[in-house]
Amino acid sequence: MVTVHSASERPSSPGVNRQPRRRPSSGKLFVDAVAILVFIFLIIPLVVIVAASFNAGEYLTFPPDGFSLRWYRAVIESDRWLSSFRLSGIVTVITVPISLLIGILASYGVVRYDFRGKAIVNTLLLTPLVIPQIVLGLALLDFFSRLGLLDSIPGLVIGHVVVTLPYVVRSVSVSVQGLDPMMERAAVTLGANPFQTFRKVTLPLIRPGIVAGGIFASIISFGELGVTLLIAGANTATLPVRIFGFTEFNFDPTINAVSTLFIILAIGLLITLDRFIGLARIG
Amino acid sequence: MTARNRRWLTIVGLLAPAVLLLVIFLVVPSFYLLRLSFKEIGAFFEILDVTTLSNYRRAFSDDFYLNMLWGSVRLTVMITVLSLLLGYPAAYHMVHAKSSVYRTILYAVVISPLLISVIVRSYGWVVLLAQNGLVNGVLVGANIIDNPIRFLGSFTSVVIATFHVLLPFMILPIASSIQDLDPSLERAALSMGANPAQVFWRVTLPLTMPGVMAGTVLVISLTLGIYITPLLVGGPLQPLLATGIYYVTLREVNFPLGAALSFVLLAFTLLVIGLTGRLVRNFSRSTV
Repeated sequence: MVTVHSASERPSSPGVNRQPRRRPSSGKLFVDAVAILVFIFLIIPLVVIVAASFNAGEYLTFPPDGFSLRWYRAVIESDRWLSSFRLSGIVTVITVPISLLIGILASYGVVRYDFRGKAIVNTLLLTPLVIPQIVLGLALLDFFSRLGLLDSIPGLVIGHVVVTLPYVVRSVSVSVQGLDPMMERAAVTLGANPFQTFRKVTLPLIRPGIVAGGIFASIISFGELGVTLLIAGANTATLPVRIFGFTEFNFDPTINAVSTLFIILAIGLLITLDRFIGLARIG
Repeated sequence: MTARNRRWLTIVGLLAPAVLLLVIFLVVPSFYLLRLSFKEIGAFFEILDVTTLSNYRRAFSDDFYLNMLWGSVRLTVMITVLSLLLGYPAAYHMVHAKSSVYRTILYAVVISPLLISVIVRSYGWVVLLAQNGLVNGVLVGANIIDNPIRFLGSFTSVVIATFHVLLPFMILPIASSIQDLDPSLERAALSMGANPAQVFWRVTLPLTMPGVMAGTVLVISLTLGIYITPLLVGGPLQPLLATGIYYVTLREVNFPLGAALSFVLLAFTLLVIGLTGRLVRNFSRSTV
C-alpha cells in the first residue's frame, strides 16, 4: 500500500551508490528535532478531540475520567445531529457528481484545445480558490437573497459546486495532460465515434484524476463552512454549521464525538487516496 | 458542417457548463456586491438608494477598521514567517525519512488536516486552550503557573490556531519541490568538499525555491482570508479584516459596509499575490 518514495530511492538516479554513512551532524539532529515537534504539533488537536470523545467526564482532564461511549450515544439520540448528518450527506451526494461532470468537461477542453480567451477561462476556473471565502459567501448571500435561494438545498449545492470545481479541474487536468492523444486517435481510426472514444478510451485512462478529484470534492463539500455559514439557515444547518453553532453558544461534549467521526472518515479517505495516487503526489 | 465549426462546437460544449456556472454564480454576484458597497443603510437597516463612497472612506479613516487591516497584515507576516521556518525542516525530514512506513505516516499527518473540516481542526484548539483545557491543566499541574490563563479570545490563540490550520499548505509544496530535487546534486556538492550547511544554502535551498514561493503565496492569501478559525478561538471582535466583515455584516447588519470591506480585502489580497508576480504560476501547479 505504501507508495511514497524517498528522494534517494527514486528510479531516476540508478547506479548511484550511497556514500559511506557519516555521523549525523548536530545541524541535522536539530532539523530532525524541530521537524518531529512540528508533526506532534500538527496531530495534537486531533488526538485531543478523539481522547475527549471517549472521556467519561464533561471536560477533558488529565488524567482522563475513564472510558465511555456516552457522547456517541448522545449524538445518535439527538435529532439535531442526525438531521445535520443527513443534510450534509445529501448536499455532498448531489454536489460531487455535478462538480465532477462540469469539471471533467472543462479540464478536457482547457488541456486539449487551444482557443482565444483560454487564459481567461483558466483564470476563471481557479478564481473560487483565490477569492477569500468570506467575500464569496457574502456575494452569494446577497445574490441568493434576491433569488430566494437562501437557506435552501439548491442554494447550498450551487455554492458547493462553485467551491469544489477548482479542485476537480486541477486533479483531472493532471490526468488529461498525461494522456497520450495517440490512444484516442487509434480508437477513432478503428471506427469508434467521438462518444465511444471518450467513454471507452479517455474516461478509463483519466480515472485516477477523476477519483482523486471526486474524493477532494466530497471532503470539501462535506466539511465546507467558510461559504456555507453565510448561505445556510435554520432549516439547512449542515454538520459544520451545526458544530459552529454549538461551539459559539455553549460547550457541548457531543461535539467531540461528531468531530471524531470526521477524523475517522478522513483516515478512511487517506487510505483510499494512498491506494489510488500515493500520498506524496498530493502535494 | 465544416471541421472548423465542429471543433468550435466541441470547445463550447466542453467549457460552457463551467463558464456559465462561474459567470452566473461568481462573477455576477460579485458585481452586485460591488454595487452594494456604494450604498448606505438607513436608520432601520434598510438599504438607501444612493451612490456614495462613504463606506470606503470609513474603511480607510476609522481607526476601528484600519486596525483590522493592520491586524491582518500582522497575522499574515507572523504566520508566513513561522510556517517558512518550521515548515521547511518538517518537509525536509518527511521527504528524507528512511523508513517508508514512517514516511507514509508523516505524509498522512500533514495531509490529514486538509481532509478534516476547518471547524474540527479549529475546535481542537478550543478544547486545548480553554480555561479548564489541557494546556492550562498541564501548566497548573506542573506548577509553572498558579491560575489558568485565558488563552481563548486573545490574539495569541488566533496565531496558534491559524498557524496550525495553514501550516500543511506550506509543507506540501516545499516537500514536492524537495522530492523533485535530484539527490546526486547534493552528493556532488558534499564530495567536492562543501559542508552540510553550505550544501543547504548553496544547493538545496536555491533549487527548492519554487516550492517555497508557491507555499508562501498560498499561505499569504489564505491567512488574509481566514475567518472561521479566528472567530472560533478569538471571537468576532479580533482586529482582522476577514472576521470584521463577518461581524459588520451579520452582527451589525450593515451589509453595504461589509461589502466595501470585502472589496478592500479582495483588492489587498490580489495586490499581495500580484506583488509576488510571476510566482503565481507555481500556485496552480504544486498545491493541493
